[in-house]
Amino acid sequence: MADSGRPGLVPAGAQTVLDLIDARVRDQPDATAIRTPHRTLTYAETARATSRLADRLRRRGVGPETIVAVHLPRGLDALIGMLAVLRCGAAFLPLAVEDPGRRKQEVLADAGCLLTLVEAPVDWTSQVELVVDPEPADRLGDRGGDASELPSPAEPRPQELAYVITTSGSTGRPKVVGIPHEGILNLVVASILELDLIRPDDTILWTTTLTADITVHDCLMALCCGATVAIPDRSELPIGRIAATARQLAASIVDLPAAVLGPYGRSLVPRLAEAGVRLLFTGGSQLDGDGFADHASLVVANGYGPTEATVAVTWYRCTDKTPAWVPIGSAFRGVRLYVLDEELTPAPQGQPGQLYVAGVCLARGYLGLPGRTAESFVPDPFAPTPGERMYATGDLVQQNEDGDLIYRGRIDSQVKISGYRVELGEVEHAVRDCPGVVDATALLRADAPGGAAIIAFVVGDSGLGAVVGDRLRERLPAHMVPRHVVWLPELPINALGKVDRVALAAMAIG
Amino acid sequence: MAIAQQTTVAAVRTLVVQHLNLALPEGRPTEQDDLWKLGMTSLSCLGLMLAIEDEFDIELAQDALKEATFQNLATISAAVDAVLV
Repeated sequence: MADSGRPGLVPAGAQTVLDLIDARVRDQPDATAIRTPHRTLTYAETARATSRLADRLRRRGVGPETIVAVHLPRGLDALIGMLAVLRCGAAFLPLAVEDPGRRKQEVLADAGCLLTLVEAPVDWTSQVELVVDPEPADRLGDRGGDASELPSPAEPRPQELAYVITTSGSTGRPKVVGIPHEGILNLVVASILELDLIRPDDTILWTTTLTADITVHDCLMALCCGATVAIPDRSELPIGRIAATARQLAASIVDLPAAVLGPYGRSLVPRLAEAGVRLLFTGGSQLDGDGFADHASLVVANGYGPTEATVAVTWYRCTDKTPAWVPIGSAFRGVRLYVLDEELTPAPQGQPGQLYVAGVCLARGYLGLPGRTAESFVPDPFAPTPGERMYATGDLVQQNEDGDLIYRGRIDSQVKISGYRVELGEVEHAVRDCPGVVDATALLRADAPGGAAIIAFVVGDSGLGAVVGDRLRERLPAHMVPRHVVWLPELPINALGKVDRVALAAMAIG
Repeated sequence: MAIAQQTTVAAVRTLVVQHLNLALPEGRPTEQDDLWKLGMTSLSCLGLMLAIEDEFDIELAQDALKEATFQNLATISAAVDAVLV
């Protein structure tokens, strides 16, 4: 490897990402850990801010195997909040501030949350809250501490949960996925040592929402490597400003969903390259990479992975030989991938099959849902140690001659919209639950007016359309609310007696 | 370039119809039709913004990159003209 010093970034015997971050705080206390448009925090200052909040959390009973929700917008407080929860040996649960209160309540209950970190008291939960430090600016800047001020690590065990995160559930309720420390440590170490996704002199722009697990990867990987996390202003980061923001914060790495990069990469990539970005992470859906390789100074790395297998299990680095339909790559350390047919027999080389994932990357399962966990995490017949599990991704893939996997689609009705994973079944449940609705089917339509959107085809009392709209906005996160509702006298039925999705896919909207 | 001979509004209308999958009668959307109400998303708005910058070979002002600028054909055209003039 070109950077011979980099293996030293991972201390022998490191058990969790906290061990790696502690090593950076010891080795480079004055290096910049976090940069915002208004201030920077060194590694030592970040450690002190984390330690102060962790102390407050500990006094409230937060410790190993407890879960603390982080209900904060993307920003310095959210990042320090996640680190402080980890520092207590507990697991953090990112919650989207903008999500409906009812949904957030369900998630808190399913996850068994002990405490919620908030900016200011909220009215949607009766659970215990902890308001993050209201005036961190005055106290974060204090310097002059030494290594003896370092917090004594809570030393969580590798199998204990590091974070829990929600994902859409086809039965009408979000699923809460629990990820242990060993999974996120494995990913971070692979990103630094094996995949060369980050170097100590990099600055990564935090563009993703708090509730996307790629946020965990991007922020922790940077802090474990000694690099800088750049946080754009608190106001929503308009994607149109991304190149200007990257330039302003001197970002060398930017993460954009494939849903954005695919259609707009041709225009965005040159702008980002000009702004000084050297590496563009993407993933989340099938990537159309036509025209990316023309900008040699900027490399696109396409990652793939379900939430249930700790963010990412493959990476593919685009070159000038990359086909337009970009492969998702191959497995890295700690990950085993199988392409299997319905009998769980390996699919012949080049033939499509369902992708199964095994290894240290696997989630513990869906919290509070043992049945759903058992359905998706099945015995791994190929495991080196009998008794291990593998996760059925529901993704169809095939392997090309180079050994890289090509994504071929889903085996179910899960879709991706603007990079978010959505089970159409969850949307349909919510629509059917609305007053006046008799039946409903939801579809993702790329040809919808205004751009790709979830469309609900609904049978019932169309006079209640406004009520249905309000109810859905109360129940679902914004990206899951159907943008158009088409009222029908009845749903079309095909020859098999099922709802004719082909007919609905061709039906006029609006 | 053909676009140079059209008025800014007409050129913007062509791009809007193309990027927002709009099937509307000739002359629509009007200058005042609210594009967000016609279904524009932040993602399709990004595509529209990039297409406008590429087509007119301009860089929209930093403070123009906000929701209100992309409200309708009139507001978009004003932002384009502000750079072109």
